[in-house]
Amino acid sequence: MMYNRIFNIVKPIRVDQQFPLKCSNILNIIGMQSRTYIKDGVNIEWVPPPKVSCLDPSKSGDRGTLPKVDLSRPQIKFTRKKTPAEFLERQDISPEIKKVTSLEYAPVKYQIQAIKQDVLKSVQRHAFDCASLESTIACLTVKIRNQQRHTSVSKRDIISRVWCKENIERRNSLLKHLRACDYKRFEWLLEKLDLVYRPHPTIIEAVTRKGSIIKLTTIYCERMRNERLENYRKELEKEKVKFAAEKAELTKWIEEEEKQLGLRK
Amino acid sequence: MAALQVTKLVSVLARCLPSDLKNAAKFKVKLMEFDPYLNMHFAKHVTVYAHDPSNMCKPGDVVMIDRLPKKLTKNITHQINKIVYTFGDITDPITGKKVVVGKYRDEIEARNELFGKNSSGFDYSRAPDRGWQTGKRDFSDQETYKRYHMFDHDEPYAV
Repeated sequence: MMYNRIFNIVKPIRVDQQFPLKCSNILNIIGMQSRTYIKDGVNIEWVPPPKVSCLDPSKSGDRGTLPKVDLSRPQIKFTRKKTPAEFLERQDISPEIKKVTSLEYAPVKYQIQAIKQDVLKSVQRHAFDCASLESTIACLTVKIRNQQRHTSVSKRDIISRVWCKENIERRNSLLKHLRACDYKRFEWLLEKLDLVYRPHPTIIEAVTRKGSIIKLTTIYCERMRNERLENYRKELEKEKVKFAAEKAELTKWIEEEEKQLGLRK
Repeated sequence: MAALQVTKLVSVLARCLPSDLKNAAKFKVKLMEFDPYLNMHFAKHVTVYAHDPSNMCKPGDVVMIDRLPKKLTKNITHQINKIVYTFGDITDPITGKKVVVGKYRDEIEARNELFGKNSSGFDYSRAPDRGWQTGKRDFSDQETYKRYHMFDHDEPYAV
């Protein structure tokens, strides 16, 4: 059956330098389609994107990093009723105790607490606000950035990774909600916290070799078409000058003819 | 079936989507389709393109669109009548005041002032119109997609 088909369709094989004899060429001559997605001569190369963790700042949308804290500041628990400046000015406490109670000798979580308070103060609606959408997002952002820093160092801490992912997803959903409720406030918050918002794609499809090459080929074809159209446009533009000269000559001749025949006064 | 229904209607209420065509806005129209077997109506969404050369509509807006007497192109079948609700900046049609979910903006402002308003916080009077972060930090104006190739140029809309 197969032989019959080959002998019926076979055409004289042309072998020259321009078209070297290849397996795909023979198949084309026979009338069969080879499993190549791209034709020869088209330089399309697919470079698969590297796998990026969902905790990575480029994916989570965190452009900014954690701000640095002044380590000479007292811990938050000593400044709940008084400001840090008032605490440092107190005469009844010795400088050694002030140094021990500063953030320099405190665990990292107290430093994060101080950063969180600073960020919250710049975003909150009033002094007692800690539950509005923007305050919640600001607190979550500080938490996420700290967790990202931690997970990048200690990669075996899986619970932290899970918490970080949960927080990122929660923040994304809150941002989406804020966007729908109050767009002006949403844009202001993005700028204030140095965040990037990208909505979730509506169609989620797996990245495959074939699918990617089809997309790349369509891009290539579009570019080729535009290039050719542009070249043709330039060619026509060049011909315009020639045509205008020809037209002027012709009109001049018509005028002269009409004058000679007495049609024009 | 539902698409046919949209072509018959003179004007419909639709929600704007990020468009992939030039000089046109994409809309999602919700229709209730009747199922005779279950004797119930079910929601069905149809996408429609409307002529919008000045980019009046932004994704999320609720817009009244009219059917064109003759198709402009293969896809563009409608034109924009008016924007009913802008996304994230809704005005109450009865009182004419701005609303955030279930509260008036005035109420929220009054409450903030009662507790002592934060000077570095958000202020509506100083806030610019929507769109000043588009393309910088807010990439919701176009459809996002999964990254499939390592291009030389930047891909801000790739997730």
